[in-house]
Amino acid sequence: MVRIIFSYGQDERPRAEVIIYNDIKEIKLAPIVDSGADTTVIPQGIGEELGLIPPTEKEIRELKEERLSCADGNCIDYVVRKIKMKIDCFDFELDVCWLFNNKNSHFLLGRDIFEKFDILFKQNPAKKVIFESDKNIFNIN
Amino acid sequence: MEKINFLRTEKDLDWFSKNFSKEELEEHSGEWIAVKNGKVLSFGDDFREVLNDAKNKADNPLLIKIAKKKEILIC
Repeated sequence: MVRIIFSYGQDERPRAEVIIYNDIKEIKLAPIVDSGADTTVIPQGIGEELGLIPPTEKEIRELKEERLSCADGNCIDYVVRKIKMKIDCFDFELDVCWLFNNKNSHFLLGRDIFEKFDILFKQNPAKKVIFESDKNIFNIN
Repeated sequence: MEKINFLRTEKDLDWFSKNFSKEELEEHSGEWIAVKNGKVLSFGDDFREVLNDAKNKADNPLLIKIAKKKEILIC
């Protein structure tokens, strides 16, 4: 069993420290762990920095039918792209929704991460988020 | 490529969690901040500008997007 513990910040949000990377660079980030998000979401700038391929014309046409719905009823544009991510000693690939035209969104770890780890929110009084895995290998794709 | 070492004690996030005050959160409301070794290296609205500015000052900064004041995240 491997247990990774992160503390909530003064902003009361559960965050994890992750590294996303490609062949030439690594970026260390602290996304919000969001059990209500169906999928992991990255904003425009992170995808651009990673050199993700911009949406094709076909993907843009399809956006009219497939937009990401937010809980407030608004919809936002996205394309699905694969990224590489590390959380502590675990290394994996993940399909994420890249909000390619939205600079202001947050980086959210959605429930696709929950398929790789058991995640426990200790809201009171500890304010910690705990990632657990019983995997013996560190590449968990 | 410089590799980031894995550390169970995520020092920069831990520092942010324990030391970044509510006043500082307000000051950087809605911004990206880059931190390293207990210091804010850079901040601003543009992720890539903040990252590149911080990388000129230190290796492997941690980037955090601060929620806007009274922002409620519901996505």
